[in-house]
Amino acid sequence: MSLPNVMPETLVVPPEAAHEELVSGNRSFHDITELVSEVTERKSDLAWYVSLALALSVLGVLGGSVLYLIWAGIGIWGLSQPVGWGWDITNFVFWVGIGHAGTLISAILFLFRQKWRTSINRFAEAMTLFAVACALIFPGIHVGRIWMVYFMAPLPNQMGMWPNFRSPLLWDVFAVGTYATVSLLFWYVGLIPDLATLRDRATTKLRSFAYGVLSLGWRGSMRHWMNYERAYMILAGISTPLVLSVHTIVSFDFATSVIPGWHTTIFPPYFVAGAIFSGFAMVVTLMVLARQLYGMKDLVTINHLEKMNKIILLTGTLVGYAYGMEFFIAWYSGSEYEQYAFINRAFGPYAWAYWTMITCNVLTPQFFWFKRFRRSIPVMFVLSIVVNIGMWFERFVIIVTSLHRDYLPSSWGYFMPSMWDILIFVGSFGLFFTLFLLFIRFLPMIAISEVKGVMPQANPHHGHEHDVPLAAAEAR
Amino acid sequence: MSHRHDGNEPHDHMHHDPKSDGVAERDPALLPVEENGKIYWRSADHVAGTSEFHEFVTREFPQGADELLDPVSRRSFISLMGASVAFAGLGTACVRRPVEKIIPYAKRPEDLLPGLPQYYATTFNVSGMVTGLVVESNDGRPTKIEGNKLHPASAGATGSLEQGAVLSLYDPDRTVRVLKGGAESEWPAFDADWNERFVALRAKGGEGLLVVHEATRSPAHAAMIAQLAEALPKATIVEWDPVSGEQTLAATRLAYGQALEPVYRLERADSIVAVDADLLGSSPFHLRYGRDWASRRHPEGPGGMNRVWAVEPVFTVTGGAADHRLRIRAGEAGTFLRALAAELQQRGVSLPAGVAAASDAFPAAFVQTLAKELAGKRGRSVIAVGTHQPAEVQAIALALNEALGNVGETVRFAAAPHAPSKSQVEGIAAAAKALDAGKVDTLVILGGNPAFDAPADLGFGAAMAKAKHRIHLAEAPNETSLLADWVLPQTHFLEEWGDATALDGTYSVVQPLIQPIWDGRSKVELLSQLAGAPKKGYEIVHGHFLATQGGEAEWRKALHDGVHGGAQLVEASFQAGAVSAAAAKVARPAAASADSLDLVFTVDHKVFDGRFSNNGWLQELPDSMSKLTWSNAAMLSPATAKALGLETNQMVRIEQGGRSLDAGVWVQPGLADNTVAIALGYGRKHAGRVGTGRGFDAYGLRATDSLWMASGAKLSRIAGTALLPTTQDHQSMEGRPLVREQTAKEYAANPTYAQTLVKGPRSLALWKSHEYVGQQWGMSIDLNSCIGCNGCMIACQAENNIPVVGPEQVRMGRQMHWIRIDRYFASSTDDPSDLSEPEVVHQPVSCVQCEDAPCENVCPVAATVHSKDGGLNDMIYNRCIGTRYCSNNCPYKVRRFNFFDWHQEGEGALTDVSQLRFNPDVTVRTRGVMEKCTYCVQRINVAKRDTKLRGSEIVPDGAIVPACAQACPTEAIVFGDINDPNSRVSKSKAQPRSYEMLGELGTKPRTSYLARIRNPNPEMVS
Repeated sequence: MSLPNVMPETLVVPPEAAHEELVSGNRSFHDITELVSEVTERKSDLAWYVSLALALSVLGVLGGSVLYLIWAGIGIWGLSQPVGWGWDITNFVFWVGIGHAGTLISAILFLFRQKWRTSINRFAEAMTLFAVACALIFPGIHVGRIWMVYFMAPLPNQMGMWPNFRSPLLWDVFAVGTYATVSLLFWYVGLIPDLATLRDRATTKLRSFAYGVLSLGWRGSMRHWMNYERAYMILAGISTPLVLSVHTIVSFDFATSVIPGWHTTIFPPYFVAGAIFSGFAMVVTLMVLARQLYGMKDLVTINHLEKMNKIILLTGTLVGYAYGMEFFIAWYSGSEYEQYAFINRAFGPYAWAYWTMITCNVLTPQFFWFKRFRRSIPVMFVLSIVVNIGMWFERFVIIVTSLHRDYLPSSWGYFMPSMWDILIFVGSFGLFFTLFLLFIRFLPMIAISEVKGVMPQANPHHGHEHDVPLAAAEAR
Repeated sequence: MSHRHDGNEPHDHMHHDPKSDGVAERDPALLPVEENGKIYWRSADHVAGTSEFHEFVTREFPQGADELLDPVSRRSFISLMGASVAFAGLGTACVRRPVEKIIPYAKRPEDLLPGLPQYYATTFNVSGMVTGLVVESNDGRPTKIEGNKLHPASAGATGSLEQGAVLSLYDPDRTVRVLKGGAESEWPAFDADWNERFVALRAKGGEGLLVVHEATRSPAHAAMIAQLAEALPKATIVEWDPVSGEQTLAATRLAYGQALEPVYRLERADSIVAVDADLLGSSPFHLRYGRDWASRRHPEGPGGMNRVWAVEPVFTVTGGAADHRLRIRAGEAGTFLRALAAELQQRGVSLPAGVAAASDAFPAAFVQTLAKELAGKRGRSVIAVGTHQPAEVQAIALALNEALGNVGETVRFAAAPHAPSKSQVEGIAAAAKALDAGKVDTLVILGGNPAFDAPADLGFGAAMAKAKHRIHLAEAPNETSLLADWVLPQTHFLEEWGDATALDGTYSVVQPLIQPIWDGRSKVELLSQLAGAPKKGYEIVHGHFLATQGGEAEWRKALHDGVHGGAQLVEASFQAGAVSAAAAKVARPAAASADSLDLVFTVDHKVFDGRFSNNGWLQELPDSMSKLTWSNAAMLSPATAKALGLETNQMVRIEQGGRSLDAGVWVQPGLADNTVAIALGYGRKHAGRVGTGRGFDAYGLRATDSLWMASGAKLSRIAGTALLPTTQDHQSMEGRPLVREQTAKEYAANPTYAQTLVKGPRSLALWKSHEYVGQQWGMSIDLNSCIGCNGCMIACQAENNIPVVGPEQVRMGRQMHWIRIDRYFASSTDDPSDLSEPEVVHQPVSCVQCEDAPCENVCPVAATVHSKDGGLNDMIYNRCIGTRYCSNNCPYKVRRFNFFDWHQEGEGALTDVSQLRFNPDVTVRTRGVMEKCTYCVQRINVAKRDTKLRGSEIVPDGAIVPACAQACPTEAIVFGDINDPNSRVSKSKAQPRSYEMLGELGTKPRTSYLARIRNPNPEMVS
């Protein structure tokens, strides 16, 4: 196979893209390698240690709370009859949602040849994995008998019992499980050339060994690149439907039920849009911090951030449309239970949560219609956090307000979180940030090889702008 | 450890002899407990020999009982974490399958097949309430109580108090041993002490002896009292019960010159007027009345539907079932009856002079229409007045019944030989005075709790301390026991021999189901001892039977049937003159206002007079009308609460007659305005681990002159919130077609109306439906006869080993009842939010066993699946991992989740004794598992097994009765095979008013409802 076929993206730069600087500051290839690798090699500064200590303490809160949860039972949460799911599943959907941006950026943007993704994809994918890790805690610990949770797995057993394949929760197990596996593979495959770079730069035996093992003997040969690109392409292909499927299936937990407010056909696209919305917001939050702290402003430029803000604006508006459409359908359905569920959502005891959600998710992103807000670091930082608060509330509103007043008014109730609900949610951020800090410290947070591929120097015609382009000359 | 009750042996034949027990030699852990040389009874479970048992008998509260959700337990958890034993500890903290040893009988008792229950007839006899029972005994443990079909008060049904008795039997806070001055002692010590005292007392003819006993309808008890009075003629014997029917006896003495009990024949009555009378809820015959009332509630039934007119100050179960309800002040019952008499007189009913007195206090339309109806139904109506209303008021009702020709038709009288010759209140007041004056040398209190429940103005507790010797026979140490120097363990009625006569005079036997667990003595036994001739309960009861009722053959039959002889109805001649004089004195009370409220004391359906406070089942049972659990409250009508600026849960101070009480407010629709009603029996200070400190002690407000009502009460807001635990927060049906109802007239015009209330098509099933062949179980619940009495709830709790969760958990909505009774208020006016004159509907809801069940689809581990034979929605507890998805997706919200191990911690914590109550046929669920009703699948399986053994495949109709249906006094719940068109349930479902709740969801529920049909007087409707 000839070279152009192997590395088409990195070699052929569409003319319009050439005008947009994806890497600023006139960096060389070496600069890129230095800039990214150096973070993992130099002695960490105090800020990192402090952050890690903080994250580990919060992780400790999670660990302690989960242990106590297992010890005492999930009665320590604020759950009740009729609200059987509260913060547990809210947190699960919240984290799974955040875990959407990574694969979207990596896979779909990859297939659509969106070059600007290269600076952020590693970062976003890592975030995806860590968010999914956080998400996976909750279905595990929310069950009453955690020691029996393996019943959910389709394991051969002496009882001849399979799990119930009709249950959306089981679909969740497979959907999220597949997503986590593929995302991990995709991320890891993408890491291999960069891990090899780190190995080659290693100054200690340990680093040399560790990165050596992780880079799976990568030598950068043409055959390696060929296999790598092919595998990456295949994984991108596999990942693409997963981006849509995971949250679609998560939404089935609700959509296939009979509970008014859950039983809604709009949920799959609505959930996917919401997931991308929250995922991008989380990437922006973290990216703004990381590029600031680690001097990556030339690699992650304001252009990147602006593009992400545009997606936030788009998905936020989609989500807003879904909110409106839910009300329309509730009215249009003629079902009094459905109508009550939505009126209750907006004007019932949880109206405060509903309007928090609307404010954060529908109104706030509208600032991004303005270019100066889209390109303002403080604005986007604040807005991205607000969006994620809003998206957490969206899940809370869907889950809790639908459950707390369903069909029989005799069974209506009100859910109040307990201390343990809050601690476990806060603790999940400890896990997320711990993983993230470790990632930043030990792995290249930006895809070195891919970024190089979109740099002007990677264009064979780099430095020959005044000349007749090679291809044109050949054609002549 | 089982035994026969054939009467040939005295009851202590059941003492266990360890030497003859082949098991004992092998395993010392299984030896019976030997304490102070006394061998304690132990069960077939062989649990008593464990070290926990020793700890339990010496320690007041079991380990961890008070630590659930207590910060201390979190602290102890953290400290364990710190000690790095958390992981090691996990294994022990989460014990899910305790090690249990199963030991076969070395010598099997005759007639006992291990694993098969035995049934014995006995009688519930508490404070004048007598209900014949059939009790199920598993391996010597009474586990489930059912009604005795042959007994007139039961007719096969049971109420919540009867059902709850099993739990009280195994109450770990019972009087476990003889206590002398609070220290452990034993019977021989007391016997020696009493013998000495008896000699001294006898020398003075019994002077200085005061015996206080509870009201009872036991002939043997009466005989022993007589024997005591004979042996010690100068002794004072006083009867005291805070809840008594003595005003009724006084009324009949007034009207008939003798103490009589009115017995109503509601099945013959077309019109029932209940004036502050809770005939269906708390009368001693309420189960029977419920059955008889319900027999006339079928719109197609012979004789047509009856009509109930309730006139009452508080919302009772009877008021809820009524077709017309009028709120009156408690003190206006007499005024109302006189006004009714005046209207009747105008319609040609001749009444004794002075009874009638017109009044403008009541809506003219109500009184006139009622009078017109009654005048047209002579001999076919009942006018009943609450037993707590003054005798003169009750006498007016007797006069009205006489005048309408009801006496002899719908109103009969039974003799009341048990009636005390003098008033209880006067008796207890005199006793308190004598005590206070130091005239009492020896005070013996047989059961009861006068230090807690005697009128507050008597200061009984303080006076009691002045007696030199104070002996209290108590089932459980209570406030009175704290003041006694001898506390003696009293037997529970399931442990003793006794007898009782029902309201209509039917004799029944109390026979023990179990050897006294704590070596107690019954009241009759102690009475015989007090009289100087101690005898065993069996000798007393059996002897009394032979002397008064019949021979040995009759005795044996009485033991088998539970009843003997039938009703003892008498004729009596009405004395119009006396009633005229008494009635004339009944005047309308002074007006009440928000500043001068009527104070009304009510009898609680759960803790009764306070004696069942330590019964977790009853405490957690929601009140029929308020749905309040674990507490009473100062009940106010919405209008009064508004006038006073009060809301539910606010703390108030009630002041009346110089006494005051701080209580939480509960706004209760249906209450009379300017009335504060509070239930007696709460606020116990020494009731045990479950009952202490629940609610507010209304006895503190109750004086000799205001036993049931008082005026001039003031309410003032004080700081604090009561957080009253309720099982239902929302009172309105929100216009949803859940309980469907019509009037009789509408029903005649459009009988299928109930089925047409659902708009839109039924949802289709997502999956292929199951095939339903063979016998398929279904249930039909008649909302027309459900009165919301709660009998089914406790029956279900007892049958299915349902745990108790405690008030904090109830407040979080975590109660575990498999069957609940939804109660909705509806406005009777055009404004749906106006609850000043509410109508109430009750709807029992348990799992409806959907054919296309939303819960089944969503369970990821297939822990809830459909059974092919029977079509039940089964729950597999040991498969359940507790995702709670099924509960979320249940439109009926009937699933219950074990958020904690309710049996391990909190109010429902088990002890070695209390776990004896479990039904061995039903799994005890662990923490983290979902549970729900399965139509008593264990009973279905027993019936199927028995059918198979008889060589048949088809279980006959009626052979399976779920616990709820069995307890139901009004037979509102019908269960059976829906594939058999001739089964009772199929016929019920074929009625035009049969409908499926939320059937439009496509769930195809197996439980359907029959719409409620109200039967208002057509003249009142227009």
